[in-house]
Amino acid sequence: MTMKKLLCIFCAAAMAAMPVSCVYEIEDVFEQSASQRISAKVSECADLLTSAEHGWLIQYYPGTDRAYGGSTYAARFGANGNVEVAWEKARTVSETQTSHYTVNMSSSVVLTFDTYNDYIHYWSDPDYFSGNDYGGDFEFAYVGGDSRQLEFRGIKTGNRIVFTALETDIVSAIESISDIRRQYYVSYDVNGETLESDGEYNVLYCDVPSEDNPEYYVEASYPFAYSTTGIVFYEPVEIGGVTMQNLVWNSDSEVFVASDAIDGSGASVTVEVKGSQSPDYIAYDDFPGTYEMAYDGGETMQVEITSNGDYSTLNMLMEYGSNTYTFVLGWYPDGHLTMTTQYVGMENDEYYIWFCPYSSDNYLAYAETYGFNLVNNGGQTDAGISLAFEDNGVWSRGTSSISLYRFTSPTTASSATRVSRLLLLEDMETLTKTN
Amino acid sequence: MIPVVASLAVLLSCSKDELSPVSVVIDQTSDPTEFDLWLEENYRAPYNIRFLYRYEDIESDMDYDVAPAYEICSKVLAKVIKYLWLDPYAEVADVDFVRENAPRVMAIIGSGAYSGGTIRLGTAEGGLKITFYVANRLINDGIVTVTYNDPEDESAGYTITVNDVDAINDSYLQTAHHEFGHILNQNKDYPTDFDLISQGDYVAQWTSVGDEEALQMGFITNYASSAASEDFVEVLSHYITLSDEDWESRMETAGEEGSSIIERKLTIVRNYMMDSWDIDIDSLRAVLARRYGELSQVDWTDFSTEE
Repeated sequence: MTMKKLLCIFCAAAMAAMPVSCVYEIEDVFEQSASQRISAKVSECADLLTSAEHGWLIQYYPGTDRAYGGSTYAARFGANGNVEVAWEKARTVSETQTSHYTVNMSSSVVLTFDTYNDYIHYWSDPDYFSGNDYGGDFEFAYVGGDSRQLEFRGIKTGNRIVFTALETDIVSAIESISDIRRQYYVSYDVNGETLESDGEYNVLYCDVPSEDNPEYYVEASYPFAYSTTGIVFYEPVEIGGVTMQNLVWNSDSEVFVASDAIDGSGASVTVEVKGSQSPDYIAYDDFPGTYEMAYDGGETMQVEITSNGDYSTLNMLMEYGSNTYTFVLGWYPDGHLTMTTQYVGMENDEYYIWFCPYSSDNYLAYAETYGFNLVNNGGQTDAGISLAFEDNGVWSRGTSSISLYRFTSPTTASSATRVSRLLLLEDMETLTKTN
Repeated sequence: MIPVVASLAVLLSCSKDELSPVSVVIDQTSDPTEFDLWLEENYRAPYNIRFLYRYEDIESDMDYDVAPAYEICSKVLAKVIKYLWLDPYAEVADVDFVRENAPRVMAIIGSGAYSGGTIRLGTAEGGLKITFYVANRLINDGIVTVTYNDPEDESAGYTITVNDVDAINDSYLQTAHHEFGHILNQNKDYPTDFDLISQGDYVAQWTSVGDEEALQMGFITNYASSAASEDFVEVLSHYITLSDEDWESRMETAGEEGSSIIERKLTIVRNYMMDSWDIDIDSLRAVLARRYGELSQVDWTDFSTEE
């Protein structure tokens, strides 16, 4: 063995024995890998969603500024990836919509409603306005929760979305909300302050002194969502020196009672919130009956109004010749009805009859937005309901008369499909309930 | 010698940290539906195409607000795209041709993608992926009618009636054939002679050109007047999808001068497809015409598979 070989062996042995970088192994901060941890979170979220036997009440807020208020859904998540949804704004509350959802990991654990659902995607579909006007989310980052309540954040808006486990089925849950919504309050009295609603979205407004200059008042807005028992503000609100977030509806006394109100010193106080309807409000259920339609300085015609049960539209039945024509009128809680261009039925199985707005200078219109508003003409009294025909302001010529025309199509009203006139009721005046 | 021995020893001393047999990447999987199995059998297996019908954020353009597709619309499009785009090419060329050239991913989006008053109908990214927008128009615009067997219970099945084949062509299939043309051109260049025919007539502001004006200038559509490469795929996609009657009526509108220009372009397109891809576009056109005729026989709700 030469020195050289010995040197080699020595060197090799020395190198091998040297505990090079390996001894400085970095200790794992977490016991499980990042993937294991996030997939555990995915499973936690998915398991909780499907664990609620009756489903979840979802208080959803579209838009970064929450200007459209909250919108409440009730949803049942199936293990097969389907979700059945009921919604407070559904035309028919008992009608649910089913689509697909996924819980997976992207930037965090995300719940995505990944096939289209007429209810869920209402606030996020850009096709309505050629732009996402409401700015709503349909992807939600999971924050945390338990079997009673889950918290998510809208991916785009960052809005907090609270899921509360239901104790009834989803349709019953939305029905309880409808019972409260259908008070149709437009303003609320809270400790002497008045909160007003725009009647369309779940936001209340109040003029409050500006923080910069208390001599000036600015409009504060308080977005809220309905729960099965009342109203929940998006965040605690301070009104008239009292801070509160949850209002519980008392159907006996017809007031909301704050369940968590505290005064400036932090002491619990009792606050009642009383709602008021529009002074012109006429209850939907009061409409059905027989009416006299007055026109042309003294002429009258009898019509019938029936309910669709949807708290949104009423039918007005007009008999003429041997046929009955059905007008669909829009009902609004501020006390007016709408009557716009529409197909109203067939004449002797031969022609399609349309209601077409008609102007005082004898022009005829087909545009579907033209027509009348029927406005409360003196409040709802024991004498019944009386409404006045007014042009709805959309047509520059103004609608003054009801014309019925024969057409060859029930879906398209145009000069190409128009045949001849069936009826003209000139200078519409009033619609008055007679029984 | 010495460094080799030394580094070997270092390596050995590190091997005590054994590789875990469990992957750190955990896929989330849910049970495939009947439709998923059908897609496996009709898209993935024959053509190696992933058909994404459930909204996946990472797969869509973050610059736009979009909404997912109705599942029923995705199902109709899956059949339409297979029946009137992929299968015809497979029939005239072969399955391998489609597998090698079709995009790897097809994504379906329910809404349009809007920006500044324009709407996207489709996008193709480097030949790897094609996105179809406005799938929900199928239902919302009455292009198809969905009739539920039991209006009270959607799970009891439904039937589909196709009301407007032209709208399906305009909104989805033209996009597919158009983008596919680009992919073929990217893989094998078309002859530069084509660029010379309308050289000087291409305009950036193609929307200002009317359809009739475009035809008379020798462009099959106004979009064809935007660039020679667009012109090429517009001629291809329209020639194979338009009926004889529709093609002739366009030639009539184009007039003697316009139609002769379009015919010269068509000759180059025809030769290119034959020389580069061994595809006879007149056979392809005949196959498509036959399939359009057979569209009424397609069962839009049958997603059964062999397994």
